[in-house]
Amino acid sequence: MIQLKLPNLSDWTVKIDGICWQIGKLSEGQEISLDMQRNKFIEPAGVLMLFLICNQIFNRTGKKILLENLRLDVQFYLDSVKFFDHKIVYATEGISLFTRLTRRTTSKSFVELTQISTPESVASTCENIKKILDYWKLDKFDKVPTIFLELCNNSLEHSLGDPEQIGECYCILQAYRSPKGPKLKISIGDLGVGIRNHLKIKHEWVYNSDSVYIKKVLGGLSGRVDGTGGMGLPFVKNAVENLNGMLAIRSGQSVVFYKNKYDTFEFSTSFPGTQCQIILE
Amino acid sequence: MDLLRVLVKDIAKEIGLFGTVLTFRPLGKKAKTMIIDKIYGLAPNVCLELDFSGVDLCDVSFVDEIIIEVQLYLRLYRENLMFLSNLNKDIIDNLEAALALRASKTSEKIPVLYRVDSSISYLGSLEPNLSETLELLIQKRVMSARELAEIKEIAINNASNRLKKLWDMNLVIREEKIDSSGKQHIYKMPAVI
Repeated sequence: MIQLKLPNLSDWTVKIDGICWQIGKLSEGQEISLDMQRNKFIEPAGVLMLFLICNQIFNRTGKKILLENLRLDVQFYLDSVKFFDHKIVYATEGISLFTRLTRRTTSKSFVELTQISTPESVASTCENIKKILDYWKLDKFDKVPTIFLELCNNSLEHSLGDPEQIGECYCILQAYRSPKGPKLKISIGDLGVGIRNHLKIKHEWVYNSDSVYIKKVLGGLSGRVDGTGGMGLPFVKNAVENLNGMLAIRSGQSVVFYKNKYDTFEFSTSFPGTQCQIILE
Repeated sequence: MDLLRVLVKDIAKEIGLFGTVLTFRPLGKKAKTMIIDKIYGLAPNVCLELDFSGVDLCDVSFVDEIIIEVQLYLRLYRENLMFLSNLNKDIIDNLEAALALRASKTSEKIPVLYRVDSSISYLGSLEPNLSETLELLIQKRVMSARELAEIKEIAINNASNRLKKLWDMNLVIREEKIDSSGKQHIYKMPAVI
């Protein structure tokens, strides 16, 4: 078994070049374990990245991935969000039967890691999110359902780079109570063609950095050939800004953070697809 | 027939959305096509009501297709007035966002009428003089250019231009009237709204 060491995946400013490079070298039949030692705490953004990394490894090797050196609270959280239900990953020490039985089967504070592959599943997951917001009386986050719809639909419609085909994405949402008040963290991502390749369907200009392409879609540019679209991400950006929240988008070799101003991080290796995280408080 | 009422929820079921949340631009395009097919062949001045009863949320992309694109179609090809009914706050907010995003990209103003209880208003932006004229026509229900000119103490040409612009935007209907003073257009807010 080959062990790959993972960086802290919840912090999107941290490089994942090493793991990306190693995944590119994997071949069918190889058994892989992921060392989770540096993930002492995991948030929705980290869960999403962990899952997408496992997905990539599974697609290359065809073998389930073992998570090692998992802290118990991290493992408990992953189990709570039904991470292991996706069957491509396992841990050596399972959660006890007692803990599983006493775990609430539905939570009013999160949407578990969910695969979204149809508009109907986008709509039904959105209805769950509305119930969570109602339960927590989070009226000020009333734009969150639309934010969720727009981000998921971007993945469904554009991640395969073919307007005739519907892609898929994964989402996770968590509501927290903090001393300052309620907090909401949302992460949505896919392993598709990425923003650069989406825009290049229609636009021929070339930029070195993926962050330029990310900022262009946040500004309303679309790769649709019929001229429509380009509304979803500007809406998301404006809504998050009005709530004084933070939006981060990873695509290709860049991560762009937006909290009243842009902050960009460039990496050496490209990670496939597009991933978003939003923090609201 | 003075009114064609289209239940958006029924259209949604035909495109495979059975819940209260309507989403996904490609499905919005299908819904738009279905709505336009229903409009085709409508006599002039017949109103289209898009009734959002039972719909909790439409995302920005979906409302762009089924409301704004339909309004644009009416503006280009039809002499029919559209209004929206039974909108909740979330749908109104997303429609306003879609209208604002459109305006920022294309500089195009595409106001849309909507009914709340028994009152009529519009979403989107209008130049102040057109907004004022529309509010007046909503209040009075029927108006000619001569009447508007007298009320606002403006030249009759100016009054006529204002009313024609509202008609061009499919925000009012008009009928031709021939009397002793000649042919004139009478602008109306339809009785069915």
